[in-house]
Amino acid sequence: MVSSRPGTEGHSRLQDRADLLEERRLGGAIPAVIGVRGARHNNLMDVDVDVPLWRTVAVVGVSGSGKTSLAMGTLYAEGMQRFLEGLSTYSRRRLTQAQRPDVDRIEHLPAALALRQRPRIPGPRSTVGTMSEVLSVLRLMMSRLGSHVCPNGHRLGPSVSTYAAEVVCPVCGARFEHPSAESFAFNSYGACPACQGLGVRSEVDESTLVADPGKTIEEGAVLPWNSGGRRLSMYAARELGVRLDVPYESLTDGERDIVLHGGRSGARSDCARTGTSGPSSCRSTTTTLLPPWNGRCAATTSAPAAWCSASSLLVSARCATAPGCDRRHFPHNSMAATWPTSARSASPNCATSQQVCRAGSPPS
Amino acid sequence: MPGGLPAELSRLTTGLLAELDGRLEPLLDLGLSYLTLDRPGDSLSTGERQRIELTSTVRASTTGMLYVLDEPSVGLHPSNVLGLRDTIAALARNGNSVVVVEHERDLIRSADWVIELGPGAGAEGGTVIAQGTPAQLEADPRSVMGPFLAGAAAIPDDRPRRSGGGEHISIEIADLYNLHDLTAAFPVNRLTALAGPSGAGKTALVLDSLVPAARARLSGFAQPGHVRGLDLRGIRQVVQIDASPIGLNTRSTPATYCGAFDHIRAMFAGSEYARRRRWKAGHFSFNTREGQCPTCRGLGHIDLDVQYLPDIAVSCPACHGARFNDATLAVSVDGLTVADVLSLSVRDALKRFADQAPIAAALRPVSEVGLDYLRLGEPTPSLSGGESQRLRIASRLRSSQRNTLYVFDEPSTGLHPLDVATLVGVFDRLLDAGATIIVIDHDLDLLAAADHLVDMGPGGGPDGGHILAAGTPEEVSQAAGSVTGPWLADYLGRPGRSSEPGWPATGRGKDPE
Repeated sequence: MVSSRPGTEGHSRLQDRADLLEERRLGGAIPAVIGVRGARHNNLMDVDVDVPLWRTVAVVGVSGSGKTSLAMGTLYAEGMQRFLEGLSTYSRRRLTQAQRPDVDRIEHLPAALALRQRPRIPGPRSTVGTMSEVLSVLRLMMSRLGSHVCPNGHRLGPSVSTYAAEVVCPVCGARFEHPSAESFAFNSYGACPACQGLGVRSEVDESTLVADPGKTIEEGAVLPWNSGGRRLSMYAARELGVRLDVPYESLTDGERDIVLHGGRSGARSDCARTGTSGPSSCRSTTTTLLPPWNGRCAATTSAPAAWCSASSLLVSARCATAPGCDRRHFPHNSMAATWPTSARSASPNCATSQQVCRAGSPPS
Repeated sequence: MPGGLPAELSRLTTGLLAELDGRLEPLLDLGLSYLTLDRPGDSLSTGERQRIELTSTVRASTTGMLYVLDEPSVGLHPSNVLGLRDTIAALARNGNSVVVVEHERDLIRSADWVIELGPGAGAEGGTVIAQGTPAQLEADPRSVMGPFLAGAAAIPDDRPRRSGGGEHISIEIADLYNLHDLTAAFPVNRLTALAGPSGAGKTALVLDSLVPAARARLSGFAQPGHVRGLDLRGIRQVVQIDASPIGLNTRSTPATYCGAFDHIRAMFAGSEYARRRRWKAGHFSFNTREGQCPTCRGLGHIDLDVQYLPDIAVSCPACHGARFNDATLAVSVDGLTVADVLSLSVRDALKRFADQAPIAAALRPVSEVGLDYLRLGEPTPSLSGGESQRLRIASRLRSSQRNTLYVFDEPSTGLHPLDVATLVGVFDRLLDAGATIIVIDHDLDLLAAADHLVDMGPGGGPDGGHILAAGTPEEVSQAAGSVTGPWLADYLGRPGRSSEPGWPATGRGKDPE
C-alpha cells in the first residue's frame, strides 16, 4: 500500500538513499551528529552531548531528570527559533513567546517539529475527521466527483463540468453554482442551521424543572420561576388558566403543557399582582414562560452549557432536525447528491455513516 | 475507474483516492482503525489525540527535519507498540532525525541510540549519565535504565498485596459508544487497574460513566442517561487526579501548594523583629504589596518587551530573584530570611523545621511522595507531569481517605520504571488511609501491582466494549480470551524477575491477533 502512494519511493530506493547517506557520513562529507554544548535549560548542568543525526534516539531518565528539558526545552526550542528566524520579525513576534534556550551552542541542528506529551483537548468542532484531515479530502470528493441536483430536481452525473464556476443543467437549462467543498463542511457553509454544525444542542431537561411535584406552583414547584424576576411567569401562567395552589402532580396534562411549553395561542397576556408598592402589571408572551435557554446556549461554539447559569437544568441532546442523520447535519439542500459506489468502497471507514450526512445539492 | 465515473475524471479520481488513502493508512498503522470520523475530538483519549497528530506528521513525508516526540507511547496497549515503532522508524528512514522521550522499554530497545539523563531528579539530575546503543546501556553499570532494559522488575516482589473480598462499587451501563449492557465492579479500598487496547472502552466506562454518574449521585442530580445502575458502597467523594501543570505562573510553588508557606509566614510574623513592627503574616508573602519586591512585583524576574522580538525574561535587577523587598528580607529566623527558606529543598526544610509541627506536617506528604528534592519556592508550572501528579496526591494525604474514590487516567505517563515504583508506593499510602483507587493504564509494572485487574477488549471500537477478564493480575494472566493476559503472563513469569530480558515480546509471536 505504501509504495503505491504517489510521492513515496519504493523501499529499495529508500535503502539506496540510506546507504548513500551512510557512505557520505562515514566519509565525513555531512555532519553525523547534532552537537549540543553547554545546555543549562532548567536543571541541565552544562550538558555537552552529541545526538546522532538521521537516527532514532531515545532520551530516558527518571521523572524530573531533565529529559524534557533536553529534548523539548533545548533541541526543539532552538530548532524552532532557527526556523522562525527565517520569518519576518513581525510574524515572529506574533507566533511565539518562547525563549531561546540557555545553551552555549548547538551545531548542525535541523528545523524541528514536536509532538507534545499531552496534546490540548480540541474544541467541540473537532472530530477525528477534521483532526486527521480525512474530511477535507472527502469534501473535495463530494464536490468534484459527486452527482449534483439542479434547482428543478434533475440529477447531473459526475463530469468535468463541475470544474466550472457555474453549471448548466442539460435537461432544463437551469444555471446554478455547484456546491464547493465548503458546502460539505459542517464547520462552514454546510453547517446544520439548528445546531450550527455542532451535532448536539443544549435542551432543557424537563424532569429537572420540577424537583418536587408534591409542591404547588406557589410553593415553588417550578424551579426556574423561583429566581428573581421570573416569578412573573407564575402569574402569566395563572392568566392562562393554570392553578397555582394545587400540587404540581395534581395538575391536568393541559396545565402542565402550558407550564413547560407555554400557551398554544402565543398571545400576550396581561397579568397583575399586588406588591408592597401597590398593584403593578407585567406583560409576558405566553411562549416564554420558561427562560429561553435553547436559543442562548445553542448559538455558542464552545462548551454550550457552561454559558448558561441554569446549566444543571440542561441536557445535551443530539441534534435531530434533519431526517436520517443524527450528528452535525447539513442543511436540507445538501442531502441529495451521491457518491460513486466504488469510491466509497475504496475507503470503507469514511463512507458508511458519513455518506448520508454529507451528500448534498447546491446551496441556494 | 470507480463505477459510474466518466473517464475524463480519472486523473482527479485517482489523485483524490490516493490522497484519501494517504490520510487513512497512518490511522490504521497506529491502531486507530476503530475510530469513526465523526467521533468528537474532545471525547478521545490522550494517546488517541497524540497519535492522530503523529499521522499528520508522518503524512507530510518530509526529509531533513528533527522530530521531537514526547512519549508517543502514552495510552498505547503493548499490542499497538509495534505499529508505533514502525511509524517512528519510517520517519528516520525518510532521512529525518527523531528524538523520542520515552519510557516504554520496547520502544527504547528499538532505538538506534539512547541518551540517559540523571541520576536523580531536579538538582540531582541534569547530567548525561550514560549513552550508547540499547545493548551498551544494558551493560553499563552507570545506567539506571540499563537493568530495566535487561528485564528487571520495577516493583519489588515482596510488596504486600491486599486480598480480594469485601465490598464492591458497581455500575451498569445501558449504551455508550461501544459499551452495551455492561456491568463492572470495583473493590472498595483496593487498587483496581483497567487495561485493554485503545478504544476498548476503558475511558467510556470510567471517565464517561462511573465518574459523572457518581458525581451526579453525590450532588443530587439525575444520572447520565446511559447509566442504568450505580452502587457507590459508601463512597462520598470522587477525585480525579491528572498530570497537567499546577498553577499558571511562578507565584505557585510547592510551599504554597502544600500549605507549608502559610505556617512559614506565620513563623516569620511571630519573630520579635516583626512583632515589634506589628507586621502580619502577609508581610512575608511575595504576593502582597507589603512583602514583594516592588520592581518585579514578587515574580523574581521581569519580562522585557523588546518590541519586535519575543519578550525576554531577566532576573529582577532589584531583588536578584529573591522576590521580596529589602524590609522583609531584613527579618531572619534562625539565620534564614524568608527568601532563604524558599530556596531550601523540602528535605532540608524538614530537617531545619523538625520542631515546627505545622510546617513539618505540611511538608512531610511532599517528601513521602518522593518529591523531597524540590525547592520550596520552585515554580510549580515547571514541574514535570509525574511531579505535578504526585504533588497533587501529596496535598490530599493529610486527611483520611475513607469513602474517597480516586481515579487516575494513565498515571504512568512520563514515568521511568523507578517513578512507577514510587507511584505505587504513593498509592499504597492512599490505600492505607482508606482510599479506593481506579487507574486506567498500560504499564505492566503498574498492572501487575494492582489488587484487582479488569481487562477490556478484545479490540477497539466495535471490536471492543467487553470485559474479557477480571481478577488478580495472576488470574487475568491465565484467563482465556484476555488480551492483556499473555503480556502479563510473560511479565509475571519472567525467570527470577531480574535477569532475563523477558519483557513482553511484541511482534515476536505474542500478538493476540
